[in-house]
Amino acid sequence: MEQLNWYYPEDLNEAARLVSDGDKAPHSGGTALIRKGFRKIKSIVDLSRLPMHDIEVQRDRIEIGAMCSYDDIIRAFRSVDPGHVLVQSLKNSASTPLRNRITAGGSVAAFPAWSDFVGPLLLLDAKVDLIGRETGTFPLSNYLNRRELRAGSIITRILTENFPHKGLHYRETRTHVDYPAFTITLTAAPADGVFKGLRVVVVGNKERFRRLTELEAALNGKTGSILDSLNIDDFFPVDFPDRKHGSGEYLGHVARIALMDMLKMIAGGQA
Amino acid sequence: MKTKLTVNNKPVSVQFSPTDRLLDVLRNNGFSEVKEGCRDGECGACVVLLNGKLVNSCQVLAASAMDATVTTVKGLEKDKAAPIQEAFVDAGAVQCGFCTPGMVLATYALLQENPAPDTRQIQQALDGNLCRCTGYVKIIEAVQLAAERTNSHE
Ligand SMILES: Cc1cc2nc3c(=O)[nH]c(=O)nc-3n(C[C@H](O)[C@H](O)[C@H](O)COP(=O)(O)OP(=O)(O)OC[C@H]3O[C@@H](n4cnc5c(N)ncnc54)[C@H](O)[C@@H]3O)c2cc1C
Ligand code: FES
Ligand code: FES
Repeated sequence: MEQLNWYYPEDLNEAARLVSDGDKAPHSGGTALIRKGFRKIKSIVDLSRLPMHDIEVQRDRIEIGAMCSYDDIIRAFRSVDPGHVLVQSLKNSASTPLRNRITAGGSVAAFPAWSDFVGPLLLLDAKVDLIGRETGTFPLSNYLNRRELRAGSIITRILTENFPHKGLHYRETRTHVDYPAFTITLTAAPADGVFKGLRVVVVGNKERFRRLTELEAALNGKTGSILDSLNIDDFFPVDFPDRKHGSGEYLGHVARIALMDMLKMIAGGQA
Repeated sequence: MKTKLTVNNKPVSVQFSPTDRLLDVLRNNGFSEVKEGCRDGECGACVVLLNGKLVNSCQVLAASAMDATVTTVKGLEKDKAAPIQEAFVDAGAVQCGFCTPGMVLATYALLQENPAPDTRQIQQALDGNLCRCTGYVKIIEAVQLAAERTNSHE
């Protein structure tokens, strides 16, 4: 452990060169690295001096530098759209001092089951900019699913769509300050009693995440009254592992109830 | 590894190993007002202001805080910290006192940004600080009292 080396690159080329051999761990907030321990790590590349601290919120797109903290993201939306789905999800995640430390890039790379960040990003069709062994812009879902994209590369920026949709983010927790067992995130265009542009994603299930495309197709264009006859089981192909919060079966029941409540809120214009 | 930190406005040279946490480096160098609770980022006993931001020092690797400015509860500006500390005593928000340095720092960080927080905002700002003694009601009253006193002096 004493031989562990730290590198402090000051430009992106140097950082890309350092990480591309795949045997050095990038460091952003460090919270997941500390939790995991350093047994398998020989070198660390600190990303804090790289130009990845900016965030830009436009009407139709969002660009988040990988070193932005959860708090930076919440602040960036404060004057523009304080009810944005990213604000709803992040302001209840972890705790105030942790939100000052946890970064966007580290959170996507770590993608824990309790992530409050990845669900909204998936709904916003996020892409990640990578440098290192892989260079270019890749859909977030590919980055999460393909190991070869992650090893030896650094996320420098997260790019997403933005739209004036309503959003809701549900966290299944035992107390306010708890890791969620799973999250459900939903966005929909505001429309009088009719589902429009509905997108739903579950994070923390056995597959790690699942976009509920069948449910979206069944509801989009329909009025809220369709919920009275909807059998949610037909549109919820999601299994949860057993967690401290409860058995997988229990979490599945809770998720279905939470999702129905969220859909009713959207249909009733309460979101 | 070595670096020079500025802790409570004074330069401090520190040595540490590559995986040491800022919490341990501070405590090993005499800043025992930074308390060690869970070491997991859950209790807030260890919070400090790192370059002005409230963070859990147990969740910060010292090697990532090269040349940083750190403020512990003892380094807060006296005129701003004293009303908070007095309010905690007057409201009965201190029992064993173990959480108090973290609570005072979190309150300071909140009032710097929002001088008149409502109850919800106080709860949110202190959501990373656990207290096993008081039950939190008096802590929230203390923050309200500190805000009132600070505002009436200004
Ligand atoms: C007590 C506690 C509670 C928490 N609760 C929540 C919660 O409720 N909701 C939530 O969303 N999160 C929560 N988190 C945060 C989450 O668990 C992770 O710790 C965090 O998201 C990691 O971000 P980081 O910036 O600290 O990453 P780091 O620890 O720096 O890095 C994480 C991983 O990604 C790699 N990495 C870092 N930066 C990059 C990059 N730019 N590109 C590629 N790879 C990179 C690292 O090598 C490492 O493998 C909590 C954390 C703690 C400690
Ligand atoms: S000791 Fe750091 S949060 Fe508990
Ligand atoms: S006063 Fe004892 S832990 Fe808060």
